[in-house]
Amino acid sequence: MNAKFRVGALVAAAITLASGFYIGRPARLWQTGAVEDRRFQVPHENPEAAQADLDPAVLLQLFGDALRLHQTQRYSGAVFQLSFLGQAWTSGDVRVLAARLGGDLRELARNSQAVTSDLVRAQAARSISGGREAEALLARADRLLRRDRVLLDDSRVALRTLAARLGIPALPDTALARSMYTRAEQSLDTIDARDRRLAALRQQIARGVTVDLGVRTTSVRWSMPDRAYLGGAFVVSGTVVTLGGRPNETRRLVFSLNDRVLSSILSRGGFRVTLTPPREFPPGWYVLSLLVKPEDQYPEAAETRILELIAPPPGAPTTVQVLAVPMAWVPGVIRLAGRVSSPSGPVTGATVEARLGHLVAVAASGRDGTFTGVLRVPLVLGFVGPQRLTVSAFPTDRANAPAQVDVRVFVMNWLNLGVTSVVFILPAAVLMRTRRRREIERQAAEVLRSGAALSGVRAPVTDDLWGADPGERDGTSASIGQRVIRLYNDAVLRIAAKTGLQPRPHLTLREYEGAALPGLRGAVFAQMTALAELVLYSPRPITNGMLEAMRRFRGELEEEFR
Amino acid sequence: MTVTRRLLALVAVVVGCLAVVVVWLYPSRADFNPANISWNGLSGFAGEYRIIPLPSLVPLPAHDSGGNVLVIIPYRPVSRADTARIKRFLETDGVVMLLDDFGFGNQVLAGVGLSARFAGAALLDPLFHYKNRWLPKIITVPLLPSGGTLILNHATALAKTSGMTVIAQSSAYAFLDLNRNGRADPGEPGGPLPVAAWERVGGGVLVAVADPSLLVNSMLDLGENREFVRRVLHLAGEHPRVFLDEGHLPMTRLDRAKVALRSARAAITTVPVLLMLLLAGIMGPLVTLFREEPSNAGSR
Repeated sequence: MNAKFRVGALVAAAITLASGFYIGRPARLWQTGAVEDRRFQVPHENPEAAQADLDPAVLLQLFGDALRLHQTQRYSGAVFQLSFLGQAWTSGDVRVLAARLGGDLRELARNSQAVTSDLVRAQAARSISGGREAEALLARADRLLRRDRVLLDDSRVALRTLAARLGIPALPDTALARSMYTRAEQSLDTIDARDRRLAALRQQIARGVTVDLGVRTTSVRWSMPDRAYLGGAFVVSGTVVTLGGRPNETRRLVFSLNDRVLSSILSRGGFRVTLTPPREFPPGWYVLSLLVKPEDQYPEAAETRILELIAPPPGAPTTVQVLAVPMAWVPGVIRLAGRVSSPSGPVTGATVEARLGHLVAVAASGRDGTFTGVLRVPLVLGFVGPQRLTVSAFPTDRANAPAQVDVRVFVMNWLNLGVTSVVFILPAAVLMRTRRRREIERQAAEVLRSGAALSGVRAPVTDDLWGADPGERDGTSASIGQRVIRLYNDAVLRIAAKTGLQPRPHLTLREYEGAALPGLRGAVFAQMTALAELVLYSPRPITNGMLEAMRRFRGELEEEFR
Repeated sequence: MTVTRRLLALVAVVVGCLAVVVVWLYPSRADFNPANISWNGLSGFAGEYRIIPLPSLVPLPAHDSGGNVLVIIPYRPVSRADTARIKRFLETDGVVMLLDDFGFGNQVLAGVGLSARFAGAALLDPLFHYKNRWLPKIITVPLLPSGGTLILNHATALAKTSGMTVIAQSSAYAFLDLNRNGRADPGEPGGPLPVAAWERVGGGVLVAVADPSLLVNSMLDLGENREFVRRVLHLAGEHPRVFLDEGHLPMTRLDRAKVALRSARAAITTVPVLLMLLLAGIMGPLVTLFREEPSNAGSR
């Protein structure tokens, strides 16, 4: 009962937890930042937790700086800055640019174009007081208007203010001024539809911030041999340098030899790659191209070098002998040792590269041609079993050709062993336990069945029934349980003969005992009934003590009937 | 064996009761749920205007809807029958406030015969915004006193609003981010773009707003959002009766379970069922009490 209750409680708890999780899990809450615009999923974010974008005041700062540059005739700089503003592209670079170039900008009241106009007018007035020709100034403003990268409403105010101060009528006298003014008016008509109000905040600018103009460049510094042997490998190494980017950006590099792609790797700053020219390439001069693929806002870079492919000199085969441990544990190290030699003797200074899957170790041969190396193998699930370790030697002199040898290493992986244990051993243990339990239950059922079958055995009622033990009398070596039940059956038959109360198939032992009780003096039959039930229905092991007890009860019953 | 079955039955009953209690009491976190007190719920709006949630549009008043406002946020497909009910509601002087950005609002607009459409692309404003460009600040709101602004939350814009009265318009620096890169690229429509407009349909008014998030708890107090909503709802009078269409709101499994429980409760609390339960409650113990025990009297 207790076991069942525990099982029931566990099942209930599991169902409750599962239901609660399934039904009660909350809807996805968008917190900050980028949101996927997907139908059936509400795209919005908690405004209190929203990430702040670039302060609009920075853009205004750019505008103010552009005006200042305009005033000091640094028009290209002004246009350059205004291009950011006109595109309304607020990047971190803009923030940095403004931080460096800006100073204090007078605080502009919210939606107060008048204040902005004052600022513009003041700057225009300074321009005028400098003796500037109106026409020349109009031309400069026109250039800005043409590019349509200016907050033209403010320029419009500036133009009109300027025209008013200089007493210029609606249509200037000179043809050039007239045409420029017309074009400006036409542009303004187009821009007029736009919003003219500006939001402004005060921005305190820190000094000494490095300027980042949003320029991104990619370059690569690399080295390679001038020549390589036909069919032989050569090593290219170098560093990818990005200007304005984060260091050690991951970039894809593609190596091609006369437009034949040799290798494509991912580089994180520095790189080192072994390339092998196609075997069908004849000796000659080839162009080795290195292409750094573009990534996000970082452009690509391409470099070329000339590589000469030469035939290896005859009679100079190189041999690589490797001594490596046949087995390695992961995580761990594989220690290599070997020797690079040729018919003329040991090969000194050869670059030896050991490659095991994606792992690479590089060493160099010494004076006697020997080399040692260590290959560190990290913990990687799935990296287990026989692996091929390729050791390549690249002599530096032309007299010796590159060589390569493959070595078998058996990798033992702790992680795989653990996973295998969990996956196989645990279920096996559970299975064995289940089988054992079923075996015990089967044996108990066997006992019960044999005992229950005998509960209907009718022995002939004779006067000498009580004279001997039924088991001994029958001459059979029955089990203890069978003998207990046989004694009980004999008692039942005796009581039936005495009281006339026959046992019926529909009566349980207990019911028969209750029916027979009035005809009996003591409670010994009740005890016999209880013991018989124990033997028949209980999973407890049946002991000799039970048999002895049943015999004792039978003796007492015999006494009762005498 | 009998004991095990009884035990399992008892466990099942206990688990069932626990599940019912948990589902009933666990607070909803679904977007736009009037019972949701979190930042994305409508509990504030629902409490202020004592909205009447409608599981479906069937009980919507079809005659003399003056003084009634129906708020629809269609994040699930709207059937023709429902659009017909909405149209009938409008024609009988009702006011419909249709808030949508990336859902099925265009089905409603088409169903009531309007040419305007929700653009379906995100409206970003890099200059006029609250914290970031996805929370654009709407600075031209004729419906509000001068200087009043709206703050939206991942909104869109309205297209083809000719014939409608535009009541809120973005700044000139806003744009529709068609390619979802967060930047203003050539070819992307630029501002000013209408974000709210209304038009008469029959005797009623349909107000289309390109951002349902205007009503959520965290947005209602930003800018003049609350005042804007009040002015829209008061198109139906000083004391409008506001219905909220729950049938087209996004629902989580928890909400569906809550709706099912509410329906079950509604079904159980009818008079015939209550009488039957009462009868079962009385007869059950009586039957048990008077059931004759199988006796041993014959043998004694």
